[in-house]
Amino acid sequence: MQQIEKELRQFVIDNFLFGQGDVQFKNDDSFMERGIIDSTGVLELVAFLEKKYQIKVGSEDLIPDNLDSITNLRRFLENKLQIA
Amino acid sequence: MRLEEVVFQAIELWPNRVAVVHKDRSWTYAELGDHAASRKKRIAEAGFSEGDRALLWMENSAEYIATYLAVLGLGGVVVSLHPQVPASEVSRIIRHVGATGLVVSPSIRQWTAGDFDSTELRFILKEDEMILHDHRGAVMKGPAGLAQIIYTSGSTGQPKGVMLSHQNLIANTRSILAYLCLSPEDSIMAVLPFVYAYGNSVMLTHLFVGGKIVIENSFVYPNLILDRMVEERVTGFSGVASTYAILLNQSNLKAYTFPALRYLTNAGGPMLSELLNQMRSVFSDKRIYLMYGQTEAAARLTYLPPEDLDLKSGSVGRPIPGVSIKIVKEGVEIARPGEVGEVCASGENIMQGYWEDPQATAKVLDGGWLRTGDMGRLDEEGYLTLVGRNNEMIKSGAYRISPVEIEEILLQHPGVQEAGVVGVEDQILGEVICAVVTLKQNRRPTDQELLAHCAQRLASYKRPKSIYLVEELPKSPSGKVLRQGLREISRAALRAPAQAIS
Repeated sequence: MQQIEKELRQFVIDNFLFGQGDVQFKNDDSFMERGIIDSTGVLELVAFLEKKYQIKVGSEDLIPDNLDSITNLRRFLENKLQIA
Repeated sequence: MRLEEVVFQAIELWPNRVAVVHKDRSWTYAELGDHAASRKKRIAEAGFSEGDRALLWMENSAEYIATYLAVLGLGGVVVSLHPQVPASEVSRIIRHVGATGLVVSPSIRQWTAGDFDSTELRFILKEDEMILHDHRGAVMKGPAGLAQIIYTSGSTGQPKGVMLSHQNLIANTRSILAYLCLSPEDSIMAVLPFVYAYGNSVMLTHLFVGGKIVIENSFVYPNLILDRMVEERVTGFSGVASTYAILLNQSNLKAYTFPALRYLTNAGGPMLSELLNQMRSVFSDKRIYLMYGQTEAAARLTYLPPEDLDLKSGSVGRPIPGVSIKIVKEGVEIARPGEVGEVCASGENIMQGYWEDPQATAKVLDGGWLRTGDMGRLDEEGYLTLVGRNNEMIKSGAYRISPVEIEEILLQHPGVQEAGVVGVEDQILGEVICAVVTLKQNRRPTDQELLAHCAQRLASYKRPKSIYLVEELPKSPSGKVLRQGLREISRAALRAPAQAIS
């Protein structure tokens, strides 16, 4: 799962932090509270997850527990990939 | 009567009704009154007095409302800025408006006290922490009766301070209350920033009638908002077109029912008919009000009664009580029904002018009429249809953004030669901001570096979504940058991601 976390972090840095890898954020940091992602950013994140990991993200999945930190994303992906 | 006196009447009439809910806290009207009194005492002790301006750099919160009432209660003027505005811009506005006090939400972290060294602030209040400064010079007083100054972007770049009097705001609020038929039983899910005219109006209408304001500051996960709407049994929801687009596309809206919800409002820009049709399908048993206005009008000018949605399709409605609308052609001639011209408005809600900018004021206020800058036509029954803007403003989400302001920021980068900024159509936001840039020979920043440059200097809603590097900007024979050409470059690049041209 470390590889997934690395991929997720890189996506966030490239797409929401303008490639600035020196911006510090922990895996448990809330994207919402840190202002890292806005409502259109969530759409970009979902598109990335669906394409990269070949999963389907439903509208009911768009909640902080699933998407709002690297840790939450990893857990969400683990569940989705097990079910698939 | 003054604005805060109307609210204090509500506090006396309905002390035990819930006034505001935010996260896990709620305040009754009595508690709101107590918090406002306590804050009033603190800022008075810091030297704030009648006629002074206080800058509220705050997120929507119970504390914002208490501070708003406290400042007005001391005879002061409220100047509010969005939490995402960078400290440098806050400092500029403080100097421009001559604010003597700054109140900051604890959630705002992108500042230090040193950022405001160049101002004449007497105090900075963050939660309970008060930082005092020793500026005791005379404070220039503004026009009598002033309640708020709301900064709004204009086509020339720097935002202008719209001066709104107590009478402007009371007249407009009462007019809105009349057509929305609000009562103490009403409650609103407040997602729009209070610092702008639409959100300000949402806040004031409910405070006037003893209604409940349920605050949610993040629209990143709309399902949370919907859960809260059901839980708090809100009766109303106010948004802009992109709010509803996000709800339809990024939430489980269709799985919800809202038994308590009575009405929804849309303003801050037109709602495309396809979006409106989807909304009407989902909220088939709710009243939907389309509205139009401008910060300079405090802000409401027209509303379309829900029963007229089909009959007057495409219209933004008729003037609200107390407002008159006329269409003016060629700057002078009154247009006949059906003829297109500039929308002009008069009423007790029209602003006092722009702070310290008599020239800009004279361009829009003319003999008691406000020139809105919007083009439209009235039908035989006085219903207004807008047909476009006669300026270059970008409307993205809930915000009106000046492309010139962003171009100036880009030009501050040492590697940028020229910059042109436009809005390009977007299904969710209405428009997204795109920049087209030429670079100097000796410095070749990447688009990512320029995006980071903008991120450090602009509130998030003003940042370009994309920056395209080109050899030359499209120009007319006379050398004027052609915004249509910029749009074409941006649209093409959005369809197929552009590469930087070296």
